[in-house]
Amino acid sequence: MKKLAATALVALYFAILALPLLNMRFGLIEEAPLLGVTIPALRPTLTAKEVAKERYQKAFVAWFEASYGLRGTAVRLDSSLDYYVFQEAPAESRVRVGSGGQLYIDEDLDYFNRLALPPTQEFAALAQRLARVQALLRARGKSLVPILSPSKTSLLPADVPSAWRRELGEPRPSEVVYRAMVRALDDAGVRYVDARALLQAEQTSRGVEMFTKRGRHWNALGACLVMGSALRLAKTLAPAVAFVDPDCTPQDAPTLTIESPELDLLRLLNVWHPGPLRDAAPSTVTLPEASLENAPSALFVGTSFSVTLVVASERSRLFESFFLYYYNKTAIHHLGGESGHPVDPTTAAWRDETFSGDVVFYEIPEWYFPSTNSEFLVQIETALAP
Amino acid sequence: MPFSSLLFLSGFLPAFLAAYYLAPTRAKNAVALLFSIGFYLWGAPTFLPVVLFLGVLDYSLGHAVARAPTPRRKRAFVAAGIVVHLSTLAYFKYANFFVAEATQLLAALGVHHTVGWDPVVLPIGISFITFEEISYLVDVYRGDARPARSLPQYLLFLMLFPHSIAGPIFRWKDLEAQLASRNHDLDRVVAGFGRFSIGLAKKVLIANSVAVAADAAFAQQPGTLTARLAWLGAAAYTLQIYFDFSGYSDMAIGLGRMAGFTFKENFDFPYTSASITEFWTRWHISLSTWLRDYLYIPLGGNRGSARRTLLNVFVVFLLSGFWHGADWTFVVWGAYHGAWVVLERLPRVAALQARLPRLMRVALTLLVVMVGWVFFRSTSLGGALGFVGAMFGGGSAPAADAALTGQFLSHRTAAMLVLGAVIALFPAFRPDIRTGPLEATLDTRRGWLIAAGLVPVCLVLSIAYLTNSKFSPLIYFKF
Repeated sequence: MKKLAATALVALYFAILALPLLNMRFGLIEEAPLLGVTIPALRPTLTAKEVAKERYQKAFVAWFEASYGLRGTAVRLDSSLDYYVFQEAPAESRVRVGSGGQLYIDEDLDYFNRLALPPTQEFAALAQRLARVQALLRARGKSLVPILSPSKTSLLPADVPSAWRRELGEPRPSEVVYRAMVRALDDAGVRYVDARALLQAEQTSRGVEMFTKRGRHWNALGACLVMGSALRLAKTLAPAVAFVDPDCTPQDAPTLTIESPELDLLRLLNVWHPGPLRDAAPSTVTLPEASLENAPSALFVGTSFSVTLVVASERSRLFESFFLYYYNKTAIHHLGGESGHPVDPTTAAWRDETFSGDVVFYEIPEWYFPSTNSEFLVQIETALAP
Repeated sequence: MPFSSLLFLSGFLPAFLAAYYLAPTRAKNAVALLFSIGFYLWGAPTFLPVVLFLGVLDYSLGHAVARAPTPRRKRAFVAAGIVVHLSTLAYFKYANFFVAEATQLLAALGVHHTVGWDPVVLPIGISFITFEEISYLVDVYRGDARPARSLPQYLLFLMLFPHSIAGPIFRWKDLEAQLASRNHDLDRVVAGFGRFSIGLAKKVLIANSVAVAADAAFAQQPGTLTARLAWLGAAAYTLQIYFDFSGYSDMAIGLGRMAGFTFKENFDFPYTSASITEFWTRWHISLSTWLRDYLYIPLGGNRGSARRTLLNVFVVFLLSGFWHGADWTFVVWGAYHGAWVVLERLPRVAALQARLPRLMRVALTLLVVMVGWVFFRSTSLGGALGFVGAMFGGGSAPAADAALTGQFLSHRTAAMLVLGAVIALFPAFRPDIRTGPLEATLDTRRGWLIAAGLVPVCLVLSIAYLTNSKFSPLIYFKF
C-alpha cells in the first residue's frame, strides 16, 4: 500500500514537471489563451559556435519560455492569485489595480507621478506649428482638428492606488504640463478640442464616468462626445464639408466579453474571471447613420485613443473613408484588416492618403505632452509649403 | 541553467530522472555524469574543458600523493595541486578585480595606462569546485580519504550537477562510498522531490517576491533613501538571501536524494542564532566547516596564544569574505563578521552576552547580520555606508524623489516578508518544536500531508510564478 502510494506520488510530481513539455510537444490539453500582444520568440539554430558563445542557450531559453506548454494556465493561476487574493496585478504587469477595481496602465501612472516639466518653448513651438498647418489646410478647404486626449488618471485621479501615488502637492506637475499646453495653444490661436476639459465637464454634469473601468481608454460615450466636438470644430473650419453632428445618447450597458475593447486592461492581467462582466458606464451610444454619398473622408493621426474614435465613427458611418496613421508610423486603412504599411512621406501614396481627406484629426496625448506625433506636422507643413 | 528555471524544471530534470531511473544500477553513475557534463556544457561551455582537465589532474595527483614514498614528496604534490587550483580560481574569479584595482592604482600614481583586458566570465561553480579539489588532495595527504578508484567517479564527484550552482561543498570522503553504491528506494525519491519542491518554493515564492523590496531599496540613489525604505530593504535582503541560498541547498539536497545520495545539511535556522559565532555554525555549514578544517586549523587554529587564535579567526573570515566575491564590499563583510567573532571571544564580552536573555541575543545578532548584509548586497563601499547611514541616521528623501510604495512593497511582497520572517525566526521563539526541514515521508501523518499536499502545491505555484514572471504583454504594438 505504501509502495503504491509512493509510486503514485512520484508519478504526480513527475507529471507536474513534465506535463508542460509534453503539452508543448504533443498538444495533449487545450491551452488557455493568453491575451495581450507579445513579441514572438523564434527557435534558434543549433551551431557549435553559438553554443560556445552562449548565444544559443539564451535564445533557446527565450523560445522555450515563450512556447512553454500550459503557459496560459500557469499565467492565469498566478495572476488570479495576485488579483483575487492580493488585490493587485503581478509585479511585472503594466497594469495596476486602483480603488474599486479601477485599472490603470503604467504609462498613465508615470504621467500622473511625473516630476520633470518640459521646457515651455517646446509647447510654444508645437502650438505655432499647429497654427500654421491649420491655416495651410484651411486655405485648401480642409480642416486640421487637434484633439488633446486625456490620461485616465486626469479624469479619475481619486481611484489611483495609493501605493502608486506620489504626493506632489497641488497643482501636480502633470497638471502644470497640461495647463502649459492649453495656454500655448490658446496663445498661438489654434482651434482645438480639449477632450480632457470636455470629458471632465461631462463627467461632472452627467455623473457617469467617461473612461472604461477595466480599460485604458475613454468609453463609447466619451468617444462619441469627443467625436461630436471634433466634428463641430471641423465644420467651423471647413463649412463646405457636410459633417454629421452625432447624438450621443447612452444606452444600457450590455454584458461584455473579455474580448470587448472596454476590458483591454483586464485582458492584460490574464486572470480567470467569473461569469459575465459588466461595466458601470454605457458601452454603446446611439449615433445617427450618415448618408454615405455626402459623408466626408478623414485622416486620423494618433494613438489607440484615435482607434476608438475611428471605431465610433465607423460604426455610425460618419465618414466615407478613413486612414489612420498609428503613432504616425503605420498607415492603417481597415481596422481588423491588414496590419498596414509604414508611413513614408516621400511616397505618392502618402500624399494621396494625407491630402485626399476633408479633415485631419490630430491627437495630442496628454501623457506625451508636448508631442509624440509632431513629425507629422513637419511632414505636412513641408509638403504644403509654397 | 538555474534550478528555478522552466527549462530545468520541465526539460532537464524530467529527462535526467527518466534516464536515471530507467538505467540499470551499474549505469546510473554514467547517466549522472553525462547529464552533469551536459549541465556544464549548457551553462559554461568554455569552462568545461578546464573542469575536465583539473579533474584529471586532481585524480592523478591524488594517486601520486598516496603513492609518494616520503611526506615531503606528498606535500610537494599537494602544494602543486593547490597552486594550480588557486591560480585557476584567481584567474577566473579575481582577475577582473585585480586588473581594475591595478588600473586605478596606476591612475592614482599618475600613470594613465589602459590595460588591454577582455573581462573574464565567471564560470558556474568554480569556487565550490576549487574547494572540493583542495579538500580531496589534503584529505588524501592526511590519510583521511583514499584516492578515487576511477576517474569517472571522481569527475562525477566534482561535477554532480545538483551542487554545481550554489553548493553545498562536497568532500570526497563523504561521498566516496555513495558514489560506489547507494539506495534508490521510492521513499528516498518521495523525500527528494519533497525537499526539492520546498526549496524551489523558498527560492521562487519567497526569495523572488521579497527581492522586489530589496532591489528597489538598493537601487535608490544616495540622498533619496528614506529610513523606512532602508530598513525594509535590509530586512527584505536578509530574508531574500536566506531563502534564496537555503532554498538552493534544499533543492541540491533533494535532487541528490532523488538520485540516491545523502548530502549534508547546509543551513540550520541561522537567524535564530544567539551570537555571530553561533550564526556561522548554522549558515552555509559546508563552507564554515571547510574553512575550519582546511584554513583555520592549518593556520594554527587555537593551538597558539590567545592573540594568535584571534588573528587566525579574523584571517579566516577575511578570506571567506573575499571568497564570496571579488569586491571590497565582500572583504569588508568578511572583516566585519570576523571582528564580531573576535569580539565575542573576549572574556568580558562573552560574560556580558551570557547575562542577556536568549531572545535579546537573537535580536542583537540578527541586527548585526542585517547590517552585514548591506555590505554584501551593495555594489560599492560608499553605497553600503550610505545605506547604513540611512538606516541609523534616519535617512530622508524629498517626497518628489522618494520611491513609490508600489515599486517596493506590493501586497504579495508584504505577505511573503511576513511569511518568510515567521519561517526563518519561529524556532527562536519555540526551540522545543524545531524539527528541521519539512520532511516528505510516508511514515507519519504529517509527512503524508507534506508529500501529498504541500509538495504538489509548491511545485504548481512555483511553476506558475516562474511562467508569469516571464510574461508581460502589451495592449497593442505601438508601431
